[in-house]
Amino acid sequence: MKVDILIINGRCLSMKDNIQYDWVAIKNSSIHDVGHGDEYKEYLNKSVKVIDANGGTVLPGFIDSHFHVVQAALNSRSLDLSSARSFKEIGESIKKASDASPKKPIRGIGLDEQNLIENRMPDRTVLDRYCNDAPVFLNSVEYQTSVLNTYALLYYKIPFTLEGIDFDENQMPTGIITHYANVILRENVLKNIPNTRRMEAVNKFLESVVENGITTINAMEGGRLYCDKDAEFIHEYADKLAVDMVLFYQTTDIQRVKDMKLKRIGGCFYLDGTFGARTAALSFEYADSPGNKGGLNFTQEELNEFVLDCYHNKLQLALYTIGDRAIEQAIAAHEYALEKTGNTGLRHRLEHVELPTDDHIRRARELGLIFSMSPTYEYIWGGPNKLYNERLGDNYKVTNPFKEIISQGVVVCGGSDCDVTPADEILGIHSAVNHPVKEHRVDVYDAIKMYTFNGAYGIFEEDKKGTLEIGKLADIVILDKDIFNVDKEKIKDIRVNTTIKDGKVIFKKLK
Amino acid sequence: MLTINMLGKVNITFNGVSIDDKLSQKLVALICLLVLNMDRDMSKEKIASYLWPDSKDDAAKYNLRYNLWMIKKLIPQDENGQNLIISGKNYCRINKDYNFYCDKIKLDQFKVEKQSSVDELIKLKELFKGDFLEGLYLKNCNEFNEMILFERVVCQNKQVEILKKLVDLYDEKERYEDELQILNEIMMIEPYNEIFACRIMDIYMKLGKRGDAINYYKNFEINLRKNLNISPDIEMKAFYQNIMNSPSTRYKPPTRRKKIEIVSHCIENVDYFWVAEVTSGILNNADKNYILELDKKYIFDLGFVQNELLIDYEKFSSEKAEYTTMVPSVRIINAFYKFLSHVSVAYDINIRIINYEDMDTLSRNILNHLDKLNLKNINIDY
Repeated sequence: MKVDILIINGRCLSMKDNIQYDWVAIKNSSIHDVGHGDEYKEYLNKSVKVIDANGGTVLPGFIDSHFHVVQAALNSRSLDLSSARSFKEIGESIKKASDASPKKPIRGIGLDEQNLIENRMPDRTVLDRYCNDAPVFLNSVEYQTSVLNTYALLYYKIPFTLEGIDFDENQMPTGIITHYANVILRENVLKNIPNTRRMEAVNKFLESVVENGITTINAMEGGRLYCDKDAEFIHEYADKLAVDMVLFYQTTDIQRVKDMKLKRIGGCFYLDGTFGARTAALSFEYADSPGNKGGLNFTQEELNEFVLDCYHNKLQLALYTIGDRAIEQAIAAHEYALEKTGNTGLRHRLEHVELPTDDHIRRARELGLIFSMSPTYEYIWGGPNKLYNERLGDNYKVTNPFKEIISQGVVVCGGSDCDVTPADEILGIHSAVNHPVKEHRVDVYDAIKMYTFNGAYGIFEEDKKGTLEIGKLADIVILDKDIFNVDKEKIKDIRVNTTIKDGKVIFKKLK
Repeated sequence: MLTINMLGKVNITFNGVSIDDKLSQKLVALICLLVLNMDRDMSKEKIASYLWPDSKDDAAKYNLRYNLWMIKKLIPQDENGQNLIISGKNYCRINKDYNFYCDKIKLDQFKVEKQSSVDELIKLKELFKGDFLEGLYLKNCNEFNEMILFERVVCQNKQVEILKKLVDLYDEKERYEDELQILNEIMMIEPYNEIFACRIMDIYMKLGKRGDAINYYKNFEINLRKNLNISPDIEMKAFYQNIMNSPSTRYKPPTRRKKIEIVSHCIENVDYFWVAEVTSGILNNADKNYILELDKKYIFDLGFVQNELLIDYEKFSSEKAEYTTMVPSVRIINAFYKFLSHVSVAYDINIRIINYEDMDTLSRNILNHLDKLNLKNINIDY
């Protein structure tokens, strides 16, 4: 029997019942055989491509369960202003971009006034000093504010009559735009990006994604602060992209989702906000903002009705929850809908779920809810003297309790939330294994499972993906080291050697 | 006649023929600047500072002279022998006696506080082809660009004021269809304005289009949630509840009857399974507003075997449904018959049964009963 690819000398983790193999044979787009020792030799012939894993771990292709594909791709081509500390630094970055591509629109992201020595957003007169012959459109770190130079104010269609346009004492727009006007402006700007540019940006961006072994993405697209055209783009062009896309349309428009024949809805469907902006809904006050417990975006009745509609229409639903009050609200809505309809088996998901209590975990298990979590958050913001500690005080010790959730039987799938954190699943595994709070740490196998089998389960694809088994899709990643023989603190330094998608090598690291 | 349109991309025509392609950006800017200041002389020095701020005095003066000469060359005298621009040694201005039309001047004549007729307002509304001087930006000409920006804000505000006045006038005259159209135009500019959204719903009700009012609210709610992640405010919700609580206008069966195809399955020993399947199939394929006009007693009885009916009843009527623990079989049979009779008034229904042999006994009895009654417009295929 001829096969196309043989992967040998690997620690091939099937991710099913802890079974391991030494080799994997691929024919066409599927896994044809697996085995131990030198049994693979029967497949050796002139035409087979042999990949020597050199003792590295061989895994099912990574499934990223929470990823903003189009915005991450477009942002990768934007000016990153997150490290800017002054108007001057912002201006110099703009000037550099303008000199590099004269007269081309400049989009900047990650602007954070709290980082600036001026402690406020720059206005158009500041931006004009560095660029006045092309539109400059800057976004704040969570897209709630836009700042434009004068050229951009005249170039884009600005709804000057709407709430959110900032005017100076002479009743002239300052270029700082928030609230309703910002929503309309962003929509005007983003929807006018042609799909050819989206395609170009996404294709380029996916090159770095496959370098990290990702073969399937749960694409969270459309909706507030994003753009519905992104969701439509993924829906239309998914089969032309290098990795599989499973679209989560971030909308409440059930009819639209049904018309598109999607099986799921939601994603960043914000029940609350973020710890960073102190808008995540907590049952306690923010440590650095007394009196503030964040807020919920829905009433319980509104959410109940929407969740019930999803059950009724048999749609898998993904709700964004960060704080414990938002998690409580989501679980209560699911309990309500389940009682009303009796519909089970839709594998509804909660996204992020950073502050669940034991009671939440127990009720989620009873409801069959999946937790789609982002372990890298802990690596970046978790632990003493970091953002979560600043915002939550001692409660930073109870965020993202992976170990407890898994041990109680809730399925946890892992996502990068790219581009909030990098599209790096190995960093995600590292973060789950090295959680800053020891009790929440999981073992390496469980961490890998979040990004493989559980990821597939989270999108009803466990029959074809997520494990190395005969007949499964040949989506495979080969690491440059054996992840079980590396110090846990160094997991993040492991890199991907080879990525195989549908039986084809789509990335191979140069030696 | 010369026509200068500034509300949108600048368009200048003479006797109906466009001369845009002969005009440079600076020349267009010069004409617009003079028109906007047509009530007064403008010093040439001031104009030069607007349009050639980086040039030395002599060069700026030369540029201005050259552009004024170009205007004279490209824009002929009117039928009375007048030139568009009167140019003195140090000043120049638009000649008020020159016969020309400018949309911006027309707009400037509109005063919010002054009374206007519907016709006047419609004419003003139609002036807007886009933003003021759309696409015009002069590098380094800060004063000029500031002027565009300022006027753009003014024009957008005026546009909304004109539309609002028109809405009020139509409302006074009870011209609701026209009012609706203008309200929709306002909502294009201010898509989250709940006051106008309520007015639209109100007009739908006045026009007897309760369903459209409800759908409008639902779409508005979806957009608010999608774009701002908020729900409508309390007043709007209350307004919606009023509509929901108001008696519905009777459903008019469509003149062209609609067909519903339902594929139903059976499960042996599960009481009423087939009945529940058919009820759900109809509910998901026919107009729920119509279905739920069935007497609520029948809805509650049939809802005992198919709770989707009760869920929809609660959603559409805003009343709590009666969840009973037991309903006698005879009432369920009767409710199912009434349900089918009611739907068959508006629809032709074809029900296909996939595995008839597995049908539960109670459903089979009901089916036999229906066969005997020979319901009109309902075909059951098994």
